[in-house]
Amino acid sequence: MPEPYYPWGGEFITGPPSGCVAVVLLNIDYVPPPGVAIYGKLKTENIGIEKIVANVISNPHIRYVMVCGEEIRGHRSGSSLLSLHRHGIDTQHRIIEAPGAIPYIENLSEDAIARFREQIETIDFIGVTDTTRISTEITALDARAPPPFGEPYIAIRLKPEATVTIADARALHARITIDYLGRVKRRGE
Amino acid sequence: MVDKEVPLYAARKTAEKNVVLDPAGFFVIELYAKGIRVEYYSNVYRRKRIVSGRLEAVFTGVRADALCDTIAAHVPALLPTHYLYLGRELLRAQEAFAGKRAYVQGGC
Repeated sequence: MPEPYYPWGGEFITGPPSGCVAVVLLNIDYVPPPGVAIYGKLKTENIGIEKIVANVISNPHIRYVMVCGEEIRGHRSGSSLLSLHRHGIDTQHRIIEAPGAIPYIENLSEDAIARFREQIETIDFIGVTDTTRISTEITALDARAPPPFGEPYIAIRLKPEATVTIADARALHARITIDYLGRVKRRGE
Repeated sequence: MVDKEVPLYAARKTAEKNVVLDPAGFFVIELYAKGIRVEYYSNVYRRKRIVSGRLEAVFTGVRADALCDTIAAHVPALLPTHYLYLGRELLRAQEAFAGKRAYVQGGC
């Protein structure tokens, strides 16, 4: 199931793995030119961003990440991704200066984030919905044809036929409830 | 004469604002080229709020029943309402995949 270059998987479309451009789509319906290595929608400012990072650093040919389309309201996922690239995360795993509501990175190591920040250059096309302009920029980036960034970095690999049973190690949680706002209360209160 | 009385309940949907999030975690359901993909995350809290999840397991398949059985076998401590939610949501995903339609995971 996982593609060799993108082992975490997810909802994305792949092109030639030697392509140097990845395209992150916010609120926009757009199919990039065929030379793009990978493209897909970004929804959330936590797990969504983590998947992009993992899938980008697993393909060292990707050297440019373009973020285009109207920003996701509330989540501000596109801006949060750019903040991760510019500033990294703090000790609480929060993306520094990210405008999203819950921009926490929990599934990637600091090394993986550092690799992302070094491997790629971001192209901020947030708010741009002119597909001709976007395609022109992508074609120009593709023509630069930079060398690959070393070996693939595999942040998360899925191990087929895992036999580990996830035990309930959170028995405490049987005594609490969490409401729709994420507030924790004791059961019965 | 009545030997036994049993309750009869009219079904009523719980409002989304009243849904209790599962302390055991949450699931992300997506379609991919070969079927349905389900990611299970344990909750990550900051200041008593769920802000993200840690990926614990990934399940793939094309049938809702097989996915339900496999998830129940490997993630045994969910709230009953969460299992029921997964059942109906995975059936929606199965129907979308079989019909080659887009699928967007629904709320509770």
